[in-house]
Amino acid sequence: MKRYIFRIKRFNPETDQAPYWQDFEVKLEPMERLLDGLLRIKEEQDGSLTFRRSCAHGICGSCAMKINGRNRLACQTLAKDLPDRVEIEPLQAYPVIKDLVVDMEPFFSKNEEVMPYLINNNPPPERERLQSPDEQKRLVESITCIMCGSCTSACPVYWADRQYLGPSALLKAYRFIFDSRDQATQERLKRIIHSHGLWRCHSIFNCVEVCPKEIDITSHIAALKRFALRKGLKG
Amino acid sequence: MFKWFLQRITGLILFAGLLVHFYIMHYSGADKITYEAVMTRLSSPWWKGFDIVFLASVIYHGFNGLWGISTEYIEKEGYLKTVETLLLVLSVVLFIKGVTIIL
Amino acid sequence: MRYRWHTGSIAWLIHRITGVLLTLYIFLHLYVLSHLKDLDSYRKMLQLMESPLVKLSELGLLALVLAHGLNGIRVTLLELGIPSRKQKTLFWYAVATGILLFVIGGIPLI
Repeated sequence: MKRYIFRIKRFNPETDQAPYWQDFEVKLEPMERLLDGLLRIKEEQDGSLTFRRSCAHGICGSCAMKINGRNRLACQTLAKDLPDRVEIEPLQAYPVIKDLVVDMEPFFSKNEEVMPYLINNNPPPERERLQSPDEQKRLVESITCIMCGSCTSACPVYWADRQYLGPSALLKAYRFIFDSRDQATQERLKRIIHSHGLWRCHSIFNCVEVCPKEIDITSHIAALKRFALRKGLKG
Repeated sequence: MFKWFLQRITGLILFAGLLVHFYIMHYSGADKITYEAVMTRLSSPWWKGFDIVFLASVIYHGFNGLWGISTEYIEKEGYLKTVETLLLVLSVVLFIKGVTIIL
Repeated sequence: MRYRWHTGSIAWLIHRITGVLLTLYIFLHLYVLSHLKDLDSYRKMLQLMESPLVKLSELGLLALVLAHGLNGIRVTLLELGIPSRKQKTLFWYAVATGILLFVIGGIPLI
């Protein structure tokens, strides 16, 4: 058991004028996660501490937060990798609802803009619409996205330009544009090729740095850029 | 998307052009940058062409860069339109000014 | 809002700042060129270029150009399909090339 100081940014819009920092002391085994520490604080010290968590195993994407200045999942952050003092903040660039809980609506609405669903107007076959293994291979990395919101919240372009689609939505666009079964490529391209879309990505790699599923988001966006350019040049 | 593409193309032109420019100005020897030598060089149509391509590239690259930054940092549509117009006017004026120097 | 910096974001910030400065330099460069009308003004300019302050700013200009240009090439290569895990290596290649070219280019400037 090691002692940690969790310095947590707290904010309750009903009682607080502004966010403030509060220190909690918590003991953790090396292989316990930061999320375990937060749960222990909530159970034993302060029941009003608010954060999202669901699966606690890196699949649901609920517990993304800024940990020592970098977005991560609380459930994937092991105590043994933490320094003695840990600063925990809500994801930045999204409105804070309470403590570590942010409003994800701006994030989800960006994803909706690129139509994150398969569009195929052919009559459905008796079984599923098939893909070759190679066609699937092209998508497999982008499909692992768990929509935790870490990437867009870490993007310096999104910090300045809230109209920017952001890494997550562009990755979603990739996932469907390069899907051999999808038929809405033109419409999707139209929705990402504007002055707050694809071309605002400057390959900063903050998204790649933070993605808990280790998706190479920037390379996927670069592939979209090349694809869009080729389409544009050929008409 | 052509803005993005042209930004890369002009960037490469500028990099190559600057190597040539730097070599002539600082490496080719003092006799190549006397007034007479420079004037003779600049009067050749080949160099005029080089300079105009170079000028167009640098102005496009610089002002398209500023335009990109503006779209990110200026939120109000009205301000952005003003800045966009300003950048466009400035770049055209600079280009004309530059061409008159070259010719 | 504080956020941890790393290679990619530092490179981007340097690229932005040097880009804006270099665009401003276009004005200065065209201004100077537009005043080079005859032998007299040309000689004056050459004299001016001998002053330590101008030499120092020329070195600064060279550094700006190299930083912006080499990072520009790095970003373009990455956009051409080099996977992101190479971005930090490419950054250090760019730094090494930059230092080398700065020395090679800086010597005749002094």
